[in-house]
Amino acid sequence: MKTHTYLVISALLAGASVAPGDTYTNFVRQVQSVSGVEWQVPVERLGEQLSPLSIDPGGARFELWTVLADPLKSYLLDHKYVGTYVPRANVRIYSEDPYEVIPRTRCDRPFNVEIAVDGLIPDDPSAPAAAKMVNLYQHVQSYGEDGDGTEVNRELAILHSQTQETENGYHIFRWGFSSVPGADRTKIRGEERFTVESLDDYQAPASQLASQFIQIWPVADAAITGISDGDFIRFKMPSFEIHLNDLYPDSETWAQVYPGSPQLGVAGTIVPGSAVVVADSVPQDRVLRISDWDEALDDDGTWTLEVLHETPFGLERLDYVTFGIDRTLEVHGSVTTIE
Amino acid sequence: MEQVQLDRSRTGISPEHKLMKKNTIISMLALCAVAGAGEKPIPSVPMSERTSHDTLASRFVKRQESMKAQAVKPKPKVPEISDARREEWKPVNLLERSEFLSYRGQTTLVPKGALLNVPARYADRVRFSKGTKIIRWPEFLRGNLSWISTYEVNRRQAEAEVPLTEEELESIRKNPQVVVATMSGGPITVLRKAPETAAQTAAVDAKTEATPTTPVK
Repeated sequence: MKTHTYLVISALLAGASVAPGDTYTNFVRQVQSVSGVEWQVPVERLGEQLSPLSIDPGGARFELWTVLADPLKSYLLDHKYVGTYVPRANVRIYSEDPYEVIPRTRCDRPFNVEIAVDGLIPDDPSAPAAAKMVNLYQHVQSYGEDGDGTEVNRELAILHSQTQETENGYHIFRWGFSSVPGADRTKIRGEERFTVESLDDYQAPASQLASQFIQIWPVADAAITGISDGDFIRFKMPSFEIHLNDLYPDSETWAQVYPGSPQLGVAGTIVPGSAVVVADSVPQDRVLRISDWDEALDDDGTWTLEVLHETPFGLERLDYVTFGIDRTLEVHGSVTTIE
Repeated sequence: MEQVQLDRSRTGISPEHKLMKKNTIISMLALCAVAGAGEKPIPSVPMSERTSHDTLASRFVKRQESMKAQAVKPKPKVPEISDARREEWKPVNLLERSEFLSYRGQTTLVPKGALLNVPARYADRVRFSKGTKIIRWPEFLRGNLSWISTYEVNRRQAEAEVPLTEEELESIRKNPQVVVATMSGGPITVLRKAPETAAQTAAVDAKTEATPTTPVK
């Protein structure tokens, strides 16, 4: 039986993080399993069409490649196997981060993996195993310290878990936090890939039916230096620094002050010159030097300085110090007059 | 004893000192806005503390233990597939399965076997030229119609079920341009000979075994 397949081609360049200045060109190929004939799909950057090359009983594989001209290199972004009785599948991952280019989240935040399976015939005793179930795999891979995924070798990903699915429909798996390996669980950076594969069959070995991955980024941290807990300031406010690490790719970070001891959830006065906005594809580090910020402190007494970090996951306090201000001068002396 | 209050302007940019004479003690009311002093409400926003490694590590260990405790499903019965078969099934590097066409700073890729005719004068354009920009086939064809033409084939011709006739091949060979086989506008491999099916291979193997060999004297 020959079938045609409706191809949906979408720009998946984000599968390999693109370095600034690089130019990649995408190609889609349909490869017939039995004959080996390859057809190159003539679509624009984004589009869909019915494949005119019918699929033989042996099946066909659809491959999305991107090619870099200098140095000349090709990267396989995605591939799907389509067979006559092999089920179809789709994987969708979504998190609290609405970033559309690629699913991403932070290592301490949840994400959902939605797997849609169609074409299973579990109740037919004569059907081969490949028609009755599919394998689901979860692979994890660390980018290493300060890595951003640009040069990662995905062949080295680690199988973290696997299961089978025997029912058609939507299956949602919720992960409360990342499983990417790492010693410090707040500083994980890497990716988790969820793949649906067919079973080994006479037509073809186990083949990828669908796959998607989500990028995992670390939790930011901050350190205030130049002012310490318990400091007592008599005159002009000293300059200080804020060392910011792993600011989430979509975040705003700032310092604020308010009178009194530390309390979580206070909306204080923003320290001038302390705001950092990040709208990027990878986390960022910054060092801020703050000076001449007396205007934010309008009174003597106890004050708390905090560093706040706002992301799609909410507002968090990264660091704080509490200090005292007393700018009252005492003059000891006497004044006499002579008439 | 006199105390001098550091006078602050409302803009708070720089302090001014005012010195009071004759034993005047100026006491400054410390407006320590200690929490709970109740002098004015402190605005609040939803906020959390940064999560810690210990909290996450504890959750991670618990989850790993619960995953180990889950029942292992029995493996289904499937055919044995050799490692060699698995290896040949994997997607091969695209560049190794492609031909390049380059001209005037641009290059494109077509599947191997798609070039039906390459006149000698254009042989130097059928390769990758370093420093060129890679573009997609439709765009490359539009800019190089002076030396490239296409030949539409169907699936059966591409898979050599119904190979191209000698007349068709002769016509292609006589074309002064580079001829690329296409199907619905996309370059496609054209096999010269249909691939042997598994049944055909088995029949050939059986015939070979049955044929007696003449002993060498």
